[in-house]
Amino acid sequence: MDCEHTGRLAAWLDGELTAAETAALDAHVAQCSACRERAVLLRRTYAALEMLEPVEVPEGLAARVRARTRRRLHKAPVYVAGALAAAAVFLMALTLRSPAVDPGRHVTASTAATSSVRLAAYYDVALEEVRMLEDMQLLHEYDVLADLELLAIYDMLLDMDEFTGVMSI
Amino acid sequence: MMAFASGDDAAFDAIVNRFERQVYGVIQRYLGNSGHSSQAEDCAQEVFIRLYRMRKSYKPTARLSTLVYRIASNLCINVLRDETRRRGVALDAPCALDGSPLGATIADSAAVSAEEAFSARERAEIVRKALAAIPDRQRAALILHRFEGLSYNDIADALETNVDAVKSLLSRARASFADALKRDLDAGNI
Repeated sequence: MDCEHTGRLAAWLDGELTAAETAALDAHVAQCSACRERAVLLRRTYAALEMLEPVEVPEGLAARVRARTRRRLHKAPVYVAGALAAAAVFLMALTLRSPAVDPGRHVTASTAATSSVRLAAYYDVALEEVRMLEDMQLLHEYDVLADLELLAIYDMLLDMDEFTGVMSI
Repeated sequence: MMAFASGDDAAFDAIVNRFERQVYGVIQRYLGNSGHSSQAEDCAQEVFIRLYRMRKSYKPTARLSTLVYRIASNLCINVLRDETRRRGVALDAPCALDGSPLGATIADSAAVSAEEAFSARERAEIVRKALAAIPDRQRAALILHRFEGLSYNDIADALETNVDAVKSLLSRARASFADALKRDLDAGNI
């Protein structure tokens, strides 16, 4: 039978209660068989975790991570033409819903970046949330975005202050 | 960290060296794998890529370790959960993330007589599978607390919640874990 205090036993065992709470629960556990039984089970399960072997980091992991990170992020410019076009279509699909956008207007690098700001304003969300689009369900359902590398292209779009090309939509 | 935020590759290299064990360890434990796991390595790689991409928005008031654990936990809980769904593994079916049925493993192990000795490796496998069976955020909280030694405050930062929520998560995590292990504990298998 569960006692109303069993939910606090984990914090009690972890030493995360205040001194007063700990003293109170000490006194309670001494008198409550349900809590004592539960505490024994919790201690045994924590002891069971000690049976797990230490995790051994594979040799050379850091070097592989560094190399692959550089390859993933630095090869993004190779896809500028096609990937920017795809990303631009994606942004266009969103921005054309905004009454402030003129479809016939040439979109420059700076205005494409500004589109993120307008998106945020239009949808009344924080700019940071727009920049977290990689976590949106929309992206998971958008086939071309199944490739996480395209998300690196999206980062480039956000950094388009350095890009001087002009796109025409 | 400020050097890293300004794009210093050497600073990023130092960060990878410093946190590779923690990142790989959290992911490996979360996945319930033993030995070298290419999946864990791929996920660890993704953590550092996400960290690199966030460098410009890094605020020096936040501890770097908190950010690293937050990215790793988020990846484990959100991305790996989505991959599990795509593979058609039911979330409420007790199973390890590699798709192996946990229920069958526990049933099999419980059928072994009490007199038979379980090797350390077999016991570790039972524990690993039980850990993989508990709900995502509970598992992440338990791993961060028990294996990474994070305080409740640090876990709250990593999981982007508050301390009271962490207390609740850990309480439920230990209860879930205990329930997953109870049969083997009662049978004396571990």
